[in-house]
Amino acid sequence: MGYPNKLKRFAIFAISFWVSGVAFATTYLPPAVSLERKSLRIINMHGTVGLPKGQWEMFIQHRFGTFGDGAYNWYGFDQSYMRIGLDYGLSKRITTGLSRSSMNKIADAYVKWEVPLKSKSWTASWYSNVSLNTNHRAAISGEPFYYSNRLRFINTLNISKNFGDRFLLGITPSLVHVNLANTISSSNDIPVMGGYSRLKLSNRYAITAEVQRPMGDRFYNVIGGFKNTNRPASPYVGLGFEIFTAKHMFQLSVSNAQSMNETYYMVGENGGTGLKNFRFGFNIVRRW
Amino acid sequence: MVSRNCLNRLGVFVGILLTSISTVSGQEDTSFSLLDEPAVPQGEEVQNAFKTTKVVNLQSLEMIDAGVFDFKMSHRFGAVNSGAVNAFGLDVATIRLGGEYGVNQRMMMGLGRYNVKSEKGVDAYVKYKWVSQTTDNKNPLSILLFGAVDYKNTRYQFNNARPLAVGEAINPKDPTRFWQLSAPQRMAYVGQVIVGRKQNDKFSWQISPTVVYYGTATTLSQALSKGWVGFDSSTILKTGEEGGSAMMVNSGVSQMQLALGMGMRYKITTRTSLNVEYIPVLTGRGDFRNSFSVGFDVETGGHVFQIDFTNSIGLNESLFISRNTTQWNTAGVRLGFNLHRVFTVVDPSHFQ
Repeated sequence: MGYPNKLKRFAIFAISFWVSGVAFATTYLPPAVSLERKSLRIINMHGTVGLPKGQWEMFIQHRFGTFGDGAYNWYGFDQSYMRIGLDYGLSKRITTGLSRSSMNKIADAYVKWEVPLKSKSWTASWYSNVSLNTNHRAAISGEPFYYSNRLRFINTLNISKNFGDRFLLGITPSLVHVNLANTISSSNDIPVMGGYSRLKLSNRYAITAEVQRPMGDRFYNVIGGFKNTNRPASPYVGLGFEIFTAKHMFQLSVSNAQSMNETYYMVGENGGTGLKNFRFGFNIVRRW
Repeated sequence: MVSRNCLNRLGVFVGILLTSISTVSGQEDTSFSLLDEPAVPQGEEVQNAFKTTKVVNLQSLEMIDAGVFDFKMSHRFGAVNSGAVNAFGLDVATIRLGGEYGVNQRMMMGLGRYNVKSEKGVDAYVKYKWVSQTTDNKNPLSILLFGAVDYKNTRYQFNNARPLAVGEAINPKDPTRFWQLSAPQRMAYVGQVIVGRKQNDKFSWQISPTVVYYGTATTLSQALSKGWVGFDSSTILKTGEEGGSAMMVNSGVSQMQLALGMGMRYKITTRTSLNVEYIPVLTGRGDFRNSFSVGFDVETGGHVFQIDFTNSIGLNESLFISRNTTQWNTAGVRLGFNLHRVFTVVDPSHFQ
């Protein structure tokens, strides 16, 4: 089962994008601090670094409809989902946060623990998130309804490396647990592999990218043995442009995921990688 | 009950207005003679009656400075009584993106595009400052003229429309799927006279007699007979929250409506103020509700935020004056905000 042609084309595009970006960026002076410390998130995903102790971060995310929605819907801008959340640095290594998204009406909470590493360029963290679908129970599943049907979990090992002061690459092996699977033959546990990258253009601007996709078509479940992971045909792909102002970080993006929660966009059926499946989005981040 | 409440509120407003007008005439200088040069220099025009060109929804006494472009973004969310499951209304949002430009010291123009539930449209308006209140009270009142026109390009799909075949493109001209409205029927016109006064540094008021004319006066029974989407449930009509095109139709509404907008501003601090407005529709209101809004202006650097609570979901005159489906009594009130950002396009010295 080879990758579809579109994906190949996209990969070529992405690689050339990065190569040209690196070449372009060398004309700038090397910055002192990694931009990762200005926002916890890349586009949808978390980076490895947490908040300094006692600091707050507030973020507002919007994801619009797809560009393929046509002129009548303003190429997607007539439809939007919003997520608002608050993060807090509990200690030097532990960051925690809460958010609510209007897409699927999901509330979520997470804990992130930074692994103490001696290295200056390598950073790693463990990220654990639980999401709660707060929709009417009838909208989630029929009877009998269990409260646990609302829950999904994700655990991620997040490893990243800084190349110089400008370029950052991360990989994020994750395990998503879905309490309510689609069918009896669907797997509740889904391993996901992905990564992200950030290229700092100047002290104010950076470009980012992230990609996620379930690893296999089948995965072992404790109950029922190997089950279908319902792996989507296309990966989740996001490209972003970051603008850092004195107080705020603006993260503009195009991606093919509408949901902003890991437990949904990583395992769900996102659109293809054609332009008409992409959508505009933005994050506004502010720290205190 | 409702109408009595309205009358009460009307009475209070008229009372306030009468008191303030009598104060105005009390302050007037009657010693002016045509033959003599005025002993004191000519009064200057009173500035900053309101922080922005909007009270909450209504156009205020304020103008955009000549050569300045004001970018405006407005949101209104769903009703707060739609419950925790909808985040008290925050899950639904309407938007209007627009801009205003000061053509000269006396005239400004505005253009915007809105997406209010399923209604999509563009609106344009002109505001002209006819008489300006002066510091020497020779002109105790400011009088402005306002005209607006809007065009809705909404596709009104029938409930019983045949499903699309695979790969079939949507054809909005298909009379079996969409209600066909002619261009004049999709238009709405608004004319307004804005009369008001900056009473003192803190308090300003205005009244805005308004005429609203709709290109079509479709009633509820007609809409039901056409089987429009969103018009098959009575609960939807009561709350107006889910209705697809609840803006356009209701029972007993007439094509021409007269309304009397009233607004005031009270400055709390130099950067914040409290704004209140009430727009009773005097004739041909039908089942729609009068708009009542309370807002706060917050000034931060180049931006002005207007945060408000209102029962109107529409964001342009023809919708928020005459097409409100929810009311304050039943907590059909919603949060909203206007964001104003000013850009200087033409150097102000050009106009002096």
